Amino acid sequence: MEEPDPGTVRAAAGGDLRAFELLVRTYQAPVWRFLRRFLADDALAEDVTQETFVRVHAKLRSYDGRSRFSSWLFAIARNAGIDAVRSRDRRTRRESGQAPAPVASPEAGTELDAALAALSIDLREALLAVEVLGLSYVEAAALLGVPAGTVKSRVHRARERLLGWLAAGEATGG
Amino acid sequence: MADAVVCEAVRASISARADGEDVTVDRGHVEGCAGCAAFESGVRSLRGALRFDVLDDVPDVATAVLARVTPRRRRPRYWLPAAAVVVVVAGVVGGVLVWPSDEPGIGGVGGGVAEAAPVAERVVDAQDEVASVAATLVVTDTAGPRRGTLRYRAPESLELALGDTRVLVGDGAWRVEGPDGVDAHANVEPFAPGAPSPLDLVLPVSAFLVAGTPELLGERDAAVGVRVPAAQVAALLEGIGTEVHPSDPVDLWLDAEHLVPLEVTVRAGEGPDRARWAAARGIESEPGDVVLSVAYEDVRVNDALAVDGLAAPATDGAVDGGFRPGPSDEPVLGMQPWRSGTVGDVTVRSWTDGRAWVKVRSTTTWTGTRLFGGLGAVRAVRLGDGVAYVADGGRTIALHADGIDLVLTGSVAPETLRRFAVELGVVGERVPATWDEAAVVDVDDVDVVPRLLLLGDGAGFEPPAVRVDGDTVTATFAGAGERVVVLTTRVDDALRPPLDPDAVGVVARGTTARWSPTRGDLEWVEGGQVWSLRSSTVGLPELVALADGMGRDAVASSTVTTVAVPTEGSLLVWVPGGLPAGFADGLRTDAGLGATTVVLGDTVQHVASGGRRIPLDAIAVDCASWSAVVPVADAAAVCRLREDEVLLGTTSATLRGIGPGGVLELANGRVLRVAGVVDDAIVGAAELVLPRAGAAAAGVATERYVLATFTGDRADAEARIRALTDVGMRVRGPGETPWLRHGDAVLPQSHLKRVFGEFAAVFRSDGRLEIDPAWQAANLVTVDLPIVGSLQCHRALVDALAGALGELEQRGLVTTIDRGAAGCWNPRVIAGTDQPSRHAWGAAFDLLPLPSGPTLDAVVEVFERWGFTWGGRWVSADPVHFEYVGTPS
Repeated sequence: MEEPDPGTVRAAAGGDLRAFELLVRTYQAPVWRFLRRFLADDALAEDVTQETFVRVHAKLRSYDGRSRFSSWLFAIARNAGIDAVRSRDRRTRRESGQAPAPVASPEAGTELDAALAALSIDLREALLAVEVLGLSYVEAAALLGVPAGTVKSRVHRARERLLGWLAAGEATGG
Repeated sequence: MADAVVCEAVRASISARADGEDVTVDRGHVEGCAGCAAFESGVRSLRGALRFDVLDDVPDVATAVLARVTPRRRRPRYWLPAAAVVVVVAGVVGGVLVWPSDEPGIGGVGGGVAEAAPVAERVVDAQDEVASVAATLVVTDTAGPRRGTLRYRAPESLELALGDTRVLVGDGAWRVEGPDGVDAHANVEPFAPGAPSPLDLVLPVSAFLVAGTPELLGERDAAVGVRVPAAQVAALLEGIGTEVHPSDPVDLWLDAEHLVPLEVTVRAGEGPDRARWAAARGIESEPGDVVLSVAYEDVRVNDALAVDGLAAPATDGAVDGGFRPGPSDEPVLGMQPWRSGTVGDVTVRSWTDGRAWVKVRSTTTWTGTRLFGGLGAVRAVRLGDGVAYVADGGRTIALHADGIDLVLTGSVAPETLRRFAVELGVVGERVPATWDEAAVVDVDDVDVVPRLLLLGDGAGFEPPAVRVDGDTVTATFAGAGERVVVLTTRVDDALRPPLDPDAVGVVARGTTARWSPTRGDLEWVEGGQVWSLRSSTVGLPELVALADGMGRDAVASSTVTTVAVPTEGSLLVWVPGGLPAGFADGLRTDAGLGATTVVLGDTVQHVASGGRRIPLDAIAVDCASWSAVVPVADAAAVCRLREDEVLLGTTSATLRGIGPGGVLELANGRVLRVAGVVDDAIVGAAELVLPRAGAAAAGVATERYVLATFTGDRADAEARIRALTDVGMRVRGPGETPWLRHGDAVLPQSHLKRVFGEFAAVFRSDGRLEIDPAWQAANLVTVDLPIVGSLQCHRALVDALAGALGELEQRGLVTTIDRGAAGCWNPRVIAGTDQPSRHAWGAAFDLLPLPSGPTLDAVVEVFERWGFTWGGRWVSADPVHFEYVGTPS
């Protein structure tokens, strides 16, 4: 993932809305992609993407430049995503009295989305951190707050399960 | 088992290796172990799929986020670059256009209503006389009325107060003040394209600079009225900040003397694309409803007192635009020098006369491989003693000369701009052969033009920018304002598989055309050529009218063919992986469709010599229900079939070289007698068509799709079908697809064989195919391709693949490709089936690692232009897969 121009980040932190808008426009697509895989819910992913950037705006002044900007940004996105999952699960429990099951949105439509939704959240977020965000095990470990070895085994287990569920890539031509 | 333990360790190493860990993978084991090899390729496919970016689907949250972080602030829409839409369209095509520079060619401001053209000229001419304007504005839209004031002093000073926002533009600075924030910019170059440019609020010059045939509404009270599409006056409307559809009709009343706007009324337009656009935005309006009106009151032109005290914007907290003033210039063509200076390596000079302006940007250090400024579709014209490249219908002129590159823009008429360019004394040269614009067809070489069905006179577009790539000709027509239409045509007798999942059939040029709403693309087949009219600023009704008005003399009527519409009033519903239980019954009982029939489909194997088999694509239909949905004569042919008889599709019959009476022996021992040949169009180009009663014995059992008749609105019918279930499906109607079958995004196997040949192969238990060496020798070549290097591919694919990869390399879009995964030719079946993969023919290419974001969009566009379809658009997406569906060169 490309890093933004440090001047843009500084300007945005200093209150320049044009610079901040540039950051939003640069990163909204990867953040949304990550969240829609993470949440398996397109509409919720859009809301949480919005929430992520509102949080980014509030925290920009505290970004110290020691970690990569994209890592910092995705840590916020991931936390916003976890908050949304918890909130959704609480709501589901309250309304149905049952433990929530992962929900694949109808629009998602693909086998992959359904399979991802069926993974546990630990496996899913480890896989997405490495595959979608392109992080190394060490970087993903810092993001997820678990040891690097755990990331490695979770990513591998996630792959084994997904590949077990999915037919190989080429479908039936359309 | 020890093997399982070994495999687990090997797979863990494959996984770690894929993530960039420094571990060794036991290659020997992987090569001998189908499971581990499958895991390795699965990890790669998974990565491609996870990183895959759904085109068009990424929501834009920026506006909502900005609204939340600055809760009460409202931003006028002209912050957005005014030309964004045009850039998108032009970017698709790029290219070079050629037209005799001193002939009006087609279109042009002359056609249509005779009295209207002078209005356009009068607007452009009036700008020389306008030194200042002051007015009171009353804007009424769905948010209710807002009042404001507008004060302008030529050429660049403006003050607009509207609602709670104030915009100030001055010499080299601009500033927007809302209730909660200030956006300020200083050191801005003259007439900067990114700056707020509501000058069209004062005099809508950009709407009338090039071809446009405004409908004259009449004259009243010293005012003249014209009706134009919103795309033509986009600059004016963006200044007001209410979103309207590009095709919405706008009534514009102008002061008869000064041509300053007095009244603007926008009404909701018509057409399915407009309705779709409104629905996506939650806008409720009936065609003809007024969606926006602007009244200019108390208008004072050239009244110095009215603009007294118009101050330059304050620059505190402003962003530096990088412009540094330099010495002023000489007058040119009577225009006085205005601000000149530099922005980095670029010298900027400008001239003005009242509201009119011309700007020249130049550099002596240009190292790019396209014209300075990246102008999109251009045409080469003679200019003085040299050559110039003209873009945007003449509103932009670029010159490439020894040691200098320059671009002229301005608010003056194209002819005036051209004279201005001559006055600069720079003799333009042709661009170097390696540049994007180098493929110039000479001005006198008009061989390509008769092949074009050009838009008719009076259509409201400038002479086109024409680009020729082999059999494909692309003509980009610029119209007034932001109106752009791109016409492409290529030699082919059928549409390619649809790229837009929402494609629908419409009638144009007396045939069935396909309309792809998300691409703004109207396509049809005529005279052995496939034609496409594409636009993001011209609505479907006008595109159809443009198509109908195109010249016909280039196409002999005897050669006109039409897209087959085999089942008028029928929809095909395909669910990948099989239909849900009871689905067909639900179509009748719950979705209100008429007759339905379920079609079975599978691959069967025809016995060949040497233990090999030939894979055949077979369908099986139930005569009784099928005949209620398809043309009677052909249904009757099916109804006569005995259980052990079969029909061949027309392409299949050609491939087999057998007709009625021939015999086919299947690998399961079943012997079928050929009873006849059936039109490809009716059976989706299937190779074999069996009666339902004989399906099981031949091994055809999977329910592939349903055909169902409908009455009334096709979109309503589809909506009712989709409401039945959440599973992903594809719905096709008449004219929307060349092949009424499942999986129509790729060539049917019979057509694939027509292009890539038919092979017999030993189907091994591990999913590999041992293909007849004679087929391999005749069809496969090992070639050295850009980026990926040496690869074995089908010879029919090589030119297109090399072309696409070469373009990706040249544009820097892709720098590495995983050779092992590229799998140009890879003889295997699709996992879990006995159906050969398209890779077994060498007809597809897997791109790994797959790029993402805008780069992926560009990569997909390149592959599609070279004749590949992209698996990322499929119902069951395979985003790394690019499959050749074009005509072999």
